[in-house]
Amino acid sequence: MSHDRRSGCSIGRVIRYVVDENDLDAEQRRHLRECPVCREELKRLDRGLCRLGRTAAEHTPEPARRPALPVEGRALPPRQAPLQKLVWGTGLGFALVMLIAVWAVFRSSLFPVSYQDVAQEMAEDEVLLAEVLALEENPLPDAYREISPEETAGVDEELFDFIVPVEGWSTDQESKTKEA
Amino acid sequence: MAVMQGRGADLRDQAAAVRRAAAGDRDAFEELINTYHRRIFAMVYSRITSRMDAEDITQEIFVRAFQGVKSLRDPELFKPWLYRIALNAVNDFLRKKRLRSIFTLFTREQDHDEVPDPTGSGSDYLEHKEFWARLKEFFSRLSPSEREAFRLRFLDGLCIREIAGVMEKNESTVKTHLYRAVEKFRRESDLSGLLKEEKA
Repeated sequence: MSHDRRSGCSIGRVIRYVVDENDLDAEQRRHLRECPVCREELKRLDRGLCRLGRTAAEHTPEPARRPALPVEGRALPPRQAPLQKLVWGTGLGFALVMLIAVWAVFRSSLFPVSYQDVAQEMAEDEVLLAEVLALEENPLPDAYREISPEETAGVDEELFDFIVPVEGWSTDQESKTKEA
Repeated sequence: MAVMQGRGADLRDQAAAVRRAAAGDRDAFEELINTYHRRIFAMVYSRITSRMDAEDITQEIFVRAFQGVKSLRDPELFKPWLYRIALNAVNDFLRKKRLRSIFTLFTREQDHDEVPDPTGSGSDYLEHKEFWARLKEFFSRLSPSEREAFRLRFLDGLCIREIAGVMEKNESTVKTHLYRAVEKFRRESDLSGLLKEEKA
């Protein structure tokens, strides 16, 4: 920046002057007045800040209503009412969550289970297990058990094959003979 | 010199009005409202950019000031004291708004400032919106203290001493904040296109 190359010129000094002109001594102020570069920089910065203030003012609407003082003798509403509501609401919500958490953690210790209940549950489990094992053994209903293989276990299967030959038996026998 | 004398007289009148208001004179406080109403509204509006909210907050500021004027020890410090109340009210409002936004995360609230001013044209509204958005963007690059000092000095027109009173800091600290903020403003080129030229 050309500004910094000149002897005695400093942008810091220009900014200090903009912030508070009394911060500079007489010699520094004289330099700002006489140096064209510093003067130009000061003018540019000052103008920019003035324009900012002016533009902000132009973009600010006029207030539609004038503030009214509270009526004499009437008590003013508490200032923090909406915030208090919010704090109370948040507090109650938090308390509810804590209550549920405490219930979940200490439920068993608050309401202990008796030995009788445990024994009954075990007996029920045993009955259920027996049923499961029976089904595993024979899943068919009673009506189908009469025709199941277990019921005809005593019959000689070779006799059956002799009376009613199985289809394809002869070809199987022939192939076995050839292999032998 | 005449301007300085006029200003001094104004300040003396104002201090007298503050004393009378502190003694319970409502008319004296009405005078103070007349003097500061628009300035305080502009100060609030520049920070929240919502006309309706700014009006509500301005009302609240003057009620608070009316309630507390009795406790003001030095009537000469009425202006920084009032701006201090205003700044607290704005910060309270913004804090509550942030808190509300947590609860209304999924039910996006329509901001009042999104409603265009029926008296202005569409392009005016867009220009207005863009100006405040760009200014907000610039302020986001400043620290909170730099931002506040800059706003009070160049948007609200307060002097260093008054800013020190509002921000409850000493004058040299305020100057340091201002120095840094102005340095950043100088480097900022985005804003220059939005700033209006001086009328001839």
